Amino acid sequence: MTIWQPTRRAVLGGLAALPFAGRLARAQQAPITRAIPSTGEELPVIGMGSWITFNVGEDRRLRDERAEVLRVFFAEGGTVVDCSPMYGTSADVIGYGLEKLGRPPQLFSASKVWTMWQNDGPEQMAEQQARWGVPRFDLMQVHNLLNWEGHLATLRSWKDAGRLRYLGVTTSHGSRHAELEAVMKSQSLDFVQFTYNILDREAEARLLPLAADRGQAVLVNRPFRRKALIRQFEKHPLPDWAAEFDAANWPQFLLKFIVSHPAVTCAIPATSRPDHMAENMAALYGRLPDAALRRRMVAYVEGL
Amino acid sequence: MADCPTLHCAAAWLPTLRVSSLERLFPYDAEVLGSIYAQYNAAVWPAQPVALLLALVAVWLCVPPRRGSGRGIGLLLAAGWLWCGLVFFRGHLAAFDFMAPVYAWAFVAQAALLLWGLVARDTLLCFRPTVAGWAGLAVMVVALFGLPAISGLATADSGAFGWAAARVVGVAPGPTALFTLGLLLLAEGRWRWALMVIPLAWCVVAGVTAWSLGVAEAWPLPILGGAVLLLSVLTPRPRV
Repeated sequence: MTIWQPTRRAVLGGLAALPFAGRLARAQQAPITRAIPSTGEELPVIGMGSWITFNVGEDRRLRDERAEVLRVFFAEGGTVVDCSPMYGTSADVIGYGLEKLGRPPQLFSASKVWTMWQNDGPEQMAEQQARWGVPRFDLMQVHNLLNWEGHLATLRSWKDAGRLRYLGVTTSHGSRHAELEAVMKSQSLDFVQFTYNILDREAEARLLPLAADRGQAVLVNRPFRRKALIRQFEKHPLPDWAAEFDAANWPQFLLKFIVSHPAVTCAIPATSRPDHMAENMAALYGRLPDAALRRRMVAYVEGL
Repeated sequence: MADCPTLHCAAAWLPTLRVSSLERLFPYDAEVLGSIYAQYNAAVWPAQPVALLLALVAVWLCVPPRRGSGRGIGLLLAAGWLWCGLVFFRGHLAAFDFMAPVYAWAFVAQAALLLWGLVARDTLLCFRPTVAGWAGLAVMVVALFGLPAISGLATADSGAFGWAAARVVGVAPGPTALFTLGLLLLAEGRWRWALMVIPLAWCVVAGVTAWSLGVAEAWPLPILGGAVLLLSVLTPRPRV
């Protein structure tokens, strides 16, 4: 019997092949999806945001880099792309990337209306459509609850006319959860969007159960508190038991915590780097932590 | 600018801002900020050397003292602030930054204040060999040559834009604010305090930029702005 003794070259070669092995293995797996309660349409649980990361203007090099981020996103099974008029030139850059990629048919386009005046809403939404180059948005949300009463009326009329498929409201401010809760209780919404991550868990008490109860899909923003959580944790070792839910790095650990909550439909991390996008999208596959593991995850990060 | 929708949105959004979330003031990162300046510099060339020349004329007007120097300097400074407000913030940065209309208003307001405080009142503005005088000259030299060099070298070090993204007095807000503060150190009369408020506020914004985006080239503004404020308080001048 011969005993195989690994050489340095064999080990390095094996490591280099790991990403491809992972991709091959994922090709045989189905992405984790959740249904939008109002229709039953399935969405992959990892989407992408564009705050800061896609606001690069006309700079061709930066635009091409962001188009590559989009390419990786779609190649790895993503569909939900979220933007807002607040994000500067991001809508133009997303439109550029979509055009360059040949308008991927799996795109689930999500944007927002962000203006004080209800009368300005239709013009702003039409402008966003033109900048993305889409005939209609799948999801239109009222950004940061700004004039939500007026804009929801417009969104309902647009939805009735078939000019958008879903409507919702957003906030990225923890201090406005009470106001969001009141809107969620009083309004018929397809989607809500708010902040939820392993350290910002206030939403577990009221918003997430309420969304489940009211049949509202949940998009989760600020999954990494921009980059702060990754910077905070990456200097610590990933626990061995992260392998029990197929998390190979901290971004996947953090994302799998979020999307393992049964009321969450999709988390939307933002990145400007294709390699980081590939890392994020790997959280779309494999196992998710159960309730006991979720408690262990929280205890672990709070002890760091 | 009054009917600008993002101005109303920014006004509604600002009260929700907390110290812990100041990074939300900037919808771009340091690399994109470099790109924004590089795109802007290319679009307005050759405004930069013209503005630099006019700033040197302003220095020449106050060293040595000349009759009517306050009027000439006020006109030149007001032109720089108006340019930054309308061309940089309103014309260029507004595409990237929802706060740009707010900044544009502040810069246009400062241009009006300079016209009122220096031109209409013909405030005396001249160099004297005192601590405040020498400090004012030093701050102006940093604004004229130091900040473009620091911004050119810093972005060259951290990204791909280098000198193309250099901030130049009269067309970029940082050096314009600092240059104005340097000149106001030479001013006499209590009106100089009113003229310092917006430039000092911009130094604070630059400090937040430096801290939250890691933009090293923005640090001289809060440091030198603070020094100017301190010197202004500690070195009393004649009340004209």
